[in-house]
Amino acid sequence: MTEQPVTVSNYPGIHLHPADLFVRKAAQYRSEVWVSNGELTVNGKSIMGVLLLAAETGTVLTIRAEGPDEQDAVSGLVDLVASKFGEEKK
Amino acid sequence: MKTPKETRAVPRDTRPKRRTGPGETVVRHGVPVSGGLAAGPAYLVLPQEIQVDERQISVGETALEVRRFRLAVRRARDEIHALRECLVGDTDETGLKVLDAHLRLLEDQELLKSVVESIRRDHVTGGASLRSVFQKMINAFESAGTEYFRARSADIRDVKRRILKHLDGNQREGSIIPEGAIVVAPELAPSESAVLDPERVRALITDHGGATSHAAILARSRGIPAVAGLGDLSHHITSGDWILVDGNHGVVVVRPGREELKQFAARERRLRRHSAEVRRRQSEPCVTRDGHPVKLLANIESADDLDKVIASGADGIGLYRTEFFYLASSHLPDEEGQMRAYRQVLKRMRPRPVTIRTLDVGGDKFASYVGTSRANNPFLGLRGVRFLLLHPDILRTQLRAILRASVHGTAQILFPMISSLEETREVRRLVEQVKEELRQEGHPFDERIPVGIMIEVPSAVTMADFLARESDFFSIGSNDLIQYTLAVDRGDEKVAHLYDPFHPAVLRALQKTVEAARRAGIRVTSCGEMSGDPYGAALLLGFGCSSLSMSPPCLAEVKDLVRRVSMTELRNLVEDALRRPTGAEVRQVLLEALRPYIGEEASLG
Repeated sequence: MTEQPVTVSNYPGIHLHPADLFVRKAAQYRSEVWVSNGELTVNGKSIMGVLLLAAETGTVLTIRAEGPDEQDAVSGLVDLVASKFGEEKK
Repeated sequence: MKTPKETRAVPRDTRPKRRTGPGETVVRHGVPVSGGLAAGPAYLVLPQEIQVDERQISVGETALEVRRFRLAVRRARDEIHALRECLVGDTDETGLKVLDAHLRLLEDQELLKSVVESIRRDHVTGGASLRSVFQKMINAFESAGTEYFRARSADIRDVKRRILKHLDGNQREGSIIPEGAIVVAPELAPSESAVLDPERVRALITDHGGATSHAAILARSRGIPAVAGLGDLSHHITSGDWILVDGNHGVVVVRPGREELKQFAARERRLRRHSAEVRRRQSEPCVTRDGHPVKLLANIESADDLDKVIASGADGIGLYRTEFFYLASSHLPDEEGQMRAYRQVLKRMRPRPVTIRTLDVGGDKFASYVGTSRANNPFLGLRGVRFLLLHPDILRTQLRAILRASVHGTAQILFPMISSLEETREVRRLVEQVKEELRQEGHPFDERIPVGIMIEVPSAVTMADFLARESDFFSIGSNDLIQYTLAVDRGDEKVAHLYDPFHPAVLRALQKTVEAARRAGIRVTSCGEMSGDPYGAALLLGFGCSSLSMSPPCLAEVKDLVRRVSMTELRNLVEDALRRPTGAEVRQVLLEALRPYIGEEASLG
């Protein structure tokens, strides 16, 4: 199992559109993905789960993955959040 | 069988009938969110009141209920796919992004599983189960700390409503907006505004929302005139009522009488004439009859507005609002992105000045973002510079971007919502700090970039003499200044009539502000709606504003006025107006003094 914390830095946080980008990215990995905000842990491949985190700017999330590509999954998703969900496609 | 013609929501005879609808003419001021004039029949888009069937169901019914639920989800998905089709190929992708995210939620296996499990376990209907599952997400959002984040639950509600509508069984056909209609709505859900068709919709007016709601952004990008924040106006409108919309000034007239129609037609003619004349006159100097030059500047939201600004012949940008950036993308815009945008505007306008206002959130901006809970008193809450000082990292990024872009033209920095000298000092200190950073890093910037403050809070007016000594310029934000001075929320129908730019207290506030600036030897400009109204502009110039900033479509009319009057007349007018004890008398003075210049066509307000 691999896990790593990351701070939500996009404004105002992970609402529907960033959540969409997050689960789309998570779906690219074969590992199971879990995300925690404090006590609450959700399935990182479910947009409902990610929305339930209500992760505003500044929230520290822990991303956890378990499976064949768990390291890639964690680093890929941490990068996505840390990069403020990247540049949106033009 | 009825012919399609007869079923149209809009009467075939589209001329307004005199006094047909219940009620009289209603004139209402709102927030101008997208410019242009339009007249047409109303088409009401009401949120469908959806009754959720709350009863307990028997074990035998659960299988049927699950099937019903799955079918509703499939129909909702189909509907979004169909809406999506309409948008493919649009240059503006905001709408597509909204729909894509909605689709993802509708396809979420975990969500669907939760609902189905709840139907089976709790023996409740699909509607009740769906509602409780969605409510968890909505509650999570609503407990968030920032208003803007809370407001983002609108998307989740929107998806919920869509499924419920299909569960209901008797859902109406997705509203086909009749061609040439003026869409009237309490507010538009993100997915509803995503599909506004500029070919069919002549204008859009909403009870809620502000310049940064989804609907407003889309209206602007599609060139649909729009006014938001109209209180409860939709309650006074029936589909088919004739409506006049002035998207430049934010004025809406419902069931206009003969007089309003005449004025509006004249206004349309003037505007057309002006737009033809304006190109010819663009090169003519904007000076009063007695030779006083007046700078007319434009308010913009993004580089997209620049064509209009250049065409209008503006002497610069008096207010570059930067909220749009923060809303148009899902993440906080980074330094590079912002720098590029500012650079583009500065280069294009060079050598004309561009005043960039730092992020101004709160109040009617994000607070009214489609239908959600609000802070108890957003106008007295975390707004403008208060927000920035609480998030210095956001401010720092923006200042770095502005300063770095400043070498490409003539930039000025403007801070909103200043209410004390401490705030002025604090933001100036931050500007200096960022400058020092840039020096260390070897980034060039305009060392002498002017730093000004908005005067829009009564405490700033009262302290204007002190503030003027520590600011490079003032910019009067008349909209907020009037609201705060008179303690009137223009969006509140019951008191909106008390909102009066010509209230003697407002005049005195303007006088005090301009006087303080004059003594300190700094410039004053004004960037509220008052600047774009010929009467308001006359007053502001008479008081001594050296420039006025307004939405580009208002420029022609104001320039026309400036070239006809003399500064001496305006100063006398102001002196006379200041002696009047009531707003009505001030108005009377203005009307009489300016009649020869503004003519029979008074502004709709």
